[in-house]
Amino acid sequence: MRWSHHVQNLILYLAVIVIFGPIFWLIVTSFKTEADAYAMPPKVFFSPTLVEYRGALESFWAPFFHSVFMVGISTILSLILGVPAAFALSHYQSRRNESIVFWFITTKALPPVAVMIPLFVIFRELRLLDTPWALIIVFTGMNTPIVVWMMYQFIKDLPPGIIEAAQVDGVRLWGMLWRIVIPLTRSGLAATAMLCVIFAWNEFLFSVSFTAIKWEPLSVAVAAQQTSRGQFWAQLSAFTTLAIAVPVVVGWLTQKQLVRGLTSGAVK
Amino acid sequence: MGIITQVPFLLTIYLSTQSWTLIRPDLGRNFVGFRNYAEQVFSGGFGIILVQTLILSFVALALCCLIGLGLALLLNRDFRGKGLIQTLLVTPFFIMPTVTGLIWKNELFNPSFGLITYFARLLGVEHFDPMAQHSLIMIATMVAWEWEPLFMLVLLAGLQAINEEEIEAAQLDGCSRLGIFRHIELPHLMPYYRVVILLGSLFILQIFGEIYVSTAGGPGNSSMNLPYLVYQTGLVGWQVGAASAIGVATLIITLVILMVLLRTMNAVAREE
Repeated sequence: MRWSHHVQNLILYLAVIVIFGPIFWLIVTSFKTEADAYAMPPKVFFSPTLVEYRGALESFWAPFFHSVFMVGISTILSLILGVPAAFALSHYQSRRNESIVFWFITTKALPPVAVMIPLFVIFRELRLLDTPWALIIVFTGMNTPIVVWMMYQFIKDLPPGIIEAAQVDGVRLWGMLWRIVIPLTRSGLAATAMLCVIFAWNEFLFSVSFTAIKWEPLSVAVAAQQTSRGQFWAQLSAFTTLAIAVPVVVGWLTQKQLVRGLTSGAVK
Repeated sequence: MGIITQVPFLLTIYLSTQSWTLIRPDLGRNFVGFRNYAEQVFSGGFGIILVQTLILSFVALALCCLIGLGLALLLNRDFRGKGLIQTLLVTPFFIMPTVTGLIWKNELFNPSFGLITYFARLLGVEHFDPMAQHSLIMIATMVAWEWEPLFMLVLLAGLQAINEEEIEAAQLDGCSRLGIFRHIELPHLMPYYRVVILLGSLFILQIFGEIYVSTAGGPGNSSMNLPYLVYQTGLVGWQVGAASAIGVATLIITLVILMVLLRTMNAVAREE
């Protein structure tokens, strides 16, 4: 029994090396000089330096702020649209609600490429290409169904007595949402917002299609750096490490809530 | 919401009946009926890319299902450092698709300085360049690497929801570890598999950034999938009508695949 326990641990450690290893090595490479990064055999021992970060940071800030701006605004909009909808759907219980919530998630089945071309044509006509608004609109549309889906599960998991008690006390609908539902589903709400951030931050198809130099977000900048600076692997690693920092940290903090929100209603 | 997703789709259908090349305004925009479909969708090239899309998605999904289950079973025990290990294993899920492509193309498999290239050379493999030689399978493994954490987390949640008394009772009755897995854990995991396979295939059928950065669909068209074909036709070739026709076809195919998946899984669930 103990023996099999250790074997299982060993397999897990190997899995960590295979799965997390590439990311770890990317971060390690970002602290090397270009010469060390290209050394063969790969250098495990080297004197770490921040010199490549200096170069990487120069081209980092502009796309970083584009991403923060577009992702931030779109996440707030998705929450403003999605949370009241989820509250309404779970508050006025009816059999049809389950299918409405399900309909929201089926809109995610629509391949982005099926709407990309007309959106491109529309944004071109409205002169929104290479402005933040095109992507804010797209990210909001993309994430609102996820907000409805997840918040519906979290609100439904609240003990039913609480809402009834508030009703008896004469709390109005908006008060209920603001003063009871939102505070009680705090952690679920945070996880939902974080998932929106991750999805929007990492989105690439629409980002590369609707923006160019002026408003390119980080995901596009990474791809662009790869073609223009493919020769500078250490600096590219530094740039990439900076680019993935936000979604990775956010993801680490929310992994548990995330699974609960995505699956709880669907497996009952 | 509806405006964002539904109206543009109707526009896609309309545009798919037009001949419109954005960089040739002199040609104008003309109604051509179903010619775009005849030329773009019912052609050999489209068929090959459709098959590639299916292979890519199937291989990636199968890898995710297997690895996700294995890791979930390994994590569903008590041991020191469990939280840290789980966190490290989840990380690829939060990485940008473009970064995934970059890691595969530059860091691991670059023909001159890649990490795995180095080990392959130690083992005496000459001309090691899988990104060019087996591009489609390489894309599938990179997608599996990125999506395996979701499968692991969901299946782990499923395992943890099993009533421990049920397993203890089975153990008392002399049920082997394999028996417990076959008769208790696997049936219990079915609804979780259903959710995660549906979610996963939604996203995996639409892979784009990984391909864009690592192989750009090449060499030739050998690692291209349908989303990349739409992008290539519409925003590189600027053939709006043709790209729309491919987009409509992609939508129909995606819906059919999801429907078949759902049917199959419901049938399997009923047998259990």
